[in-house]
Amino acid sequence: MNFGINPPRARADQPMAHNMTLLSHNELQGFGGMGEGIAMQLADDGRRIMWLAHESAPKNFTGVDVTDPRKPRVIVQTELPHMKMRSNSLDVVGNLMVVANQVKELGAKPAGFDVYDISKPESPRVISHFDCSGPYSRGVHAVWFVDGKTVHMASGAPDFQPRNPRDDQIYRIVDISNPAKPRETGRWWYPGTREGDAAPPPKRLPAQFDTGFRAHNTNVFPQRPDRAYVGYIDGGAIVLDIADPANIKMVSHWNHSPPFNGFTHTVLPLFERNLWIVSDECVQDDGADWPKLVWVVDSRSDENPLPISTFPAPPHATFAKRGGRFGAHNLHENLPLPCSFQSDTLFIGTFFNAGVRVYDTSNPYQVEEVAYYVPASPPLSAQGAVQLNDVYVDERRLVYTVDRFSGGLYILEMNV
Amino acid sequence: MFEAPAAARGRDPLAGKIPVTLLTGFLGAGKTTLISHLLRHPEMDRVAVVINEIGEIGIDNDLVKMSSENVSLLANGCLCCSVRTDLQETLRELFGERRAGLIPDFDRVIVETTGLADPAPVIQTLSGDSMVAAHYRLDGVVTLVDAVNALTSSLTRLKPSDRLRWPIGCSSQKRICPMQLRWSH
Repeated sequence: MNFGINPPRARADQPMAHNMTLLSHNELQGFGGMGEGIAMQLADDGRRIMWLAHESAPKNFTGVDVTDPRKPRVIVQTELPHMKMRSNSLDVVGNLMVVANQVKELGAKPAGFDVYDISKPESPRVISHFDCSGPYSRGVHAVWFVDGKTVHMASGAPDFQPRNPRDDQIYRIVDISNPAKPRETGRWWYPGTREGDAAPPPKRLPAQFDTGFRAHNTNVFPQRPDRAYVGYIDGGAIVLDIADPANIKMVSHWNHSPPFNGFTHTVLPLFERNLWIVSDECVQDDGADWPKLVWVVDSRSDENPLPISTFPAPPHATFAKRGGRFGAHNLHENLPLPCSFQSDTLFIGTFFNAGVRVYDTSNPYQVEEVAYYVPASPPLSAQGAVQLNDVYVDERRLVYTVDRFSGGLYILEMNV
Repeated sequence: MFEAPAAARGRDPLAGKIPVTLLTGFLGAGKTTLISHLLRHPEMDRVAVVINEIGEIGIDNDLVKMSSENVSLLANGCLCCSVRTDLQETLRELFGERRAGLIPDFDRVIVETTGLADPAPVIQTLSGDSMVAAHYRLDGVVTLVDAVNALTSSLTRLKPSDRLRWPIGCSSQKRICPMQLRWSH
């Protein structure tokens, strides 16, 4: 039986919703191309300020008052110093914000991260800049900052020369307990990727899927301050023992590629359930690197992490050729912060043109998709479809998600 | 205004399921008449109505926005589809085709049973099929009764085991009298 009325592509101009309701949409003053940095500040005056990193120049970051989620209001939007860089990532603890700087050309500046005082949200003030520029460095791609004193990040370094230029961004730990004087305390890279390593270089994926052995998300949680959960792109999911930052060791490693097509993005540990939720990132248009999935991994054994299921993927026939990227990307990461939704069973992720989706992992062997929202193609989207890039869920269970190119911010309510 | 629900970390297993209303009644009770009235209501946006035969409803052409063999999308957003094999398969495919973007979204389903059908097996369908039960929940059974002739015809055919419990309020409009029933099985 076929009920079909419209061909799938025709629906790109209409939203698709199941158990999610759009409360509001803000195009962010015409600069709605957003990266993968979303954080919420509970300001001293009681307002909730959402901080968003832009995907590309000219804008650096935008602050949005979301106290009333039905009426989000831009309160500040900042400029980058030049067009050949981007911020992409940021995190907030209290009135401190850390913003990444990544450059397009090796050796360019500013490449590193900035620390801001945002106690007056309308006028963020730079406290310090941590410089990561160098002849082989593109600076910082992603930051993780949740304890108010330590930045974990994927970054190049002035003194790090990779064997392959794609392997430039390693895992680095920077102490900012004195925000005016950031200080590196540790680093780790995939054995064999640095010029001069004794280990042989890792075997690369086929050229069309070779995106590098480098860090992406570098998550450390208060339940295990001695562990870093790192998506190491083509190197897979890696857990590091960081008890001694000067002597970091790999304690667990799982990689689905090959035969899959690389780009492990996020490793989200569920401490009470002995599971990891691991997301890939789709990085090619029109389904060229399909499938990019979210995996459930049994992590009881450090020596043998075992995938036990994947999240049900959105329908390939509907989205693969709809325009732009189609597949997994960012998850809401259970940030250990007061304004962050935290759950051991419910996970929310972005899937580019397949929108934002909610999954119930109560039965980890049979994950259920319980809600989704796919916005209509934004008016100025060159992709012909929305490209939801990142997501944040606050403790009120409101979902904040952003488009990669032009759509800006969407605020949704979950009915699950 | 946006307080976190009690089960803040998890999911309410019922909250996200699509409510299904069963419309029952003896032959001639007015089910088709009621549906053809409902279909014209603006509030029927995002409702899927599953009926026995689209042709019986007599939808005016000017109400139909788009249609295929089994489905008509009305101008008010109401989705009207006919059962071709069985209800179980129809509900499964409605959900799948909606998820694939092949049909518009809907938040509620109204199912018209045939005049001769005992609704109990239909209710069983909603709970007995794992895929259907994962996505739908029974919201209620509405039985239409011919208010003029009910006491002399329809009700006399009820089996004692059906044990209908009539609601306190029953608003009668002409011959159509919607009533909420509870079934003991």
